[in-house]
Amino acid sequence: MDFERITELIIELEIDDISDAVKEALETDGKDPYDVLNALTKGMDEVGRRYESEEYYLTELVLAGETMKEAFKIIKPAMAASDKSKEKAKVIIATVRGDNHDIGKNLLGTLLLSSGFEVIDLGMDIEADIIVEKVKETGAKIVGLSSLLTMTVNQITAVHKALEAAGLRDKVKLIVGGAPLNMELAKNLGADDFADDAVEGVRHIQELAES
Amino acid sequence: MSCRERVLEALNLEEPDRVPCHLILIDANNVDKILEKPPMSDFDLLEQYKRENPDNWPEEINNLIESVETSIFSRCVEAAVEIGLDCMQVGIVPVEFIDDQSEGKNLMKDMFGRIWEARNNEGNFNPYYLYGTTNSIEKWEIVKDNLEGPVTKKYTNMAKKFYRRINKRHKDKIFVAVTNDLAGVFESASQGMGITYYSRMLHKDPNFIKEVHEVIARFTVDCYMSYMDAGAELFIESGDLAYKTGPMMSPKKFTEVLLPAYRIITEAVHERGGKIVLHTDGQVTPLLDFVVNCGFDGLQSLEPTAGVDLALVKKKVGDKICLMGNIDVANTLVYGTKEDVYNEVKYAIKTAGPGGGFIVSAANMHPGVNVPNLRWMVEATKKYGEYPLKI
Repeated sequence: MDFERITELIIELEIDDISDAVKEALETDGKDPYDVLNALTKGMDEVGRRYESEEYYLTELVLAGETMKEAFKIIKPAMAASDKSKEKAKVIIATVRGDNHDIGKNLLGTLLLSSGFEVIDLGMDIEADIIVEKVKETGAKIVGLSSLLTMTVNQITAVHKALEAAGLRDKVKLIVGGAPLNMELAKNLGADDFADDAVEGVRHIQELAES
Repeated sequence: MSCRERVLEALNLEEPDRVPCHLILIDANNVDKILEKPPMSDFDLLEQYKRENPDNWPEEINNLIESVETSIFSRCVEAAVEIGLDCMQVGIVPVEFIDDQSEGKNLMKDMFGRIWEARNNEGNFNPYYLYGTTNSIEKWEIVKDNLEGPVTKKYTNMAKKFYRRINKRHKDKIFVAVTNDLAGVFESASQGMGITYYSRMLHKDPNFIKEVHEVIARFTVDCYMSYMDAGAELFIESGDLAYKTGPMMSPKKFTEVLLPAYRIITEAVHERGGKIVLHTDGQVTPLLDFVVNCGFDGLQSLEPTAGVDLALVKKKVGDKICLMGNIDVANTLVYGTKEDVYNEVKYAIKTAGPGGGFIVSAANMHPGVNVPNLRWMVEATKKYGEYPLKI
């Protein structure tokens, strides 16, 4: 199984074929899991490019994410066992308290995984205190919050304040996204950054991680 | 002009005496602020039924759904009359309680396979979508059999009684439109399956998705025809085809898998002399031609926070469909001052009002919207919206 084929399967959203292809690359061909990951990432980069150039839309992005998840089920144990295994930057993601929308958050999670981050997905409708506890437990330096409802955007402030109260605010970058938000409102609510969608979110998180 | 005449004139792309004013809903907490709070809240009623019928409370309360919904929407229309709207929409929300109290939530389901939580909005039911369960062809076949059989009969009967009661009470004071909010073709399909399975099948077998849309469209037509039997003339098809930055799928794909379903609905409504408008949130600009080609008479929402440029939309399709919306519910109708609301309404009328074919309307609705801001929206429409426009 060559790497181009794996990249192609991601780009063409071939969710039913990706697991066998990754298995074959690892088990039959003895490929390095990190090289396979690179091939997958290359595919996701192209998916992101197609999304930004309006060749792909949300439904394709969702399916690409699901295809990537299938690949990760196979590749993750191999990566953990590899001697190249290295510590990755951790990102906590969650949809805020009172909000059960998760399409954007899930997409962000998958795109972050394929970009080499360790993603701790807390799910939807998450209390500020739980996020703070997770930051303490994992040492994550970036928290990504999703709020799709005008009524729940104030939960961003709740997380900001809870981090402050725990003495963690200056150690953590808070990035947010969601329909009612923009950069100005995000900053007023206590966030450090804002992204319009999951593709932009990954780019911003990469910049935050580097800073 | 009566409210009905004013709205229909705008939908015919003419200039009425004044730009009409519409809302897709007034949330029940705000209805309580506009009218007097009822003696017993929805949740009081639910708790009473649970206490008195511990073994079969879902069945007991589901038997009351029609009268509960009639009362909720009737109060909503009454509140709309009180603040001076020209048009309000109503529609049966096809949900039923289920006896699953996981995590202490009051769960409901619908015939498309969606699971909802009945959230407590200051004592009032607020259905909130959680997830879809129709995630296989076999499960879809069950949904389809149901939609083509007993469910249609149940809801068409319910729709007729529901609309007749509400319209009879309010028709002299306001134009009562019908919506299938929470049961629109696209959202019922994509949410019923869950966006993951829907996206997967859209890629693998677009004809399957097309068929799903058409089955739901035929159910919708049956319901709409019942509403028309009871006197309804205007329908707002609930869509949500777009999100903040663009459409959920390409306009080409929408044309392939959804346009035929929408045509089934728009043609049926037009055949009986009715009008039909599509509601969709989000950045809808790339879908304007699609909306026109589907046969809709209007487009509702035109969400400013999603970057919809009203001037551009008016220029592109203002001579083909009536535009409704563009008043922001993320900021202006929640936190805005009177001046903010007046300025936004003035801008919308100035931009989309000339020549007619425009209805002032909030882009969406949620419980956080402020009642005084709604009143200011209506006042501003009456101040700036008289034809010939002087702004």
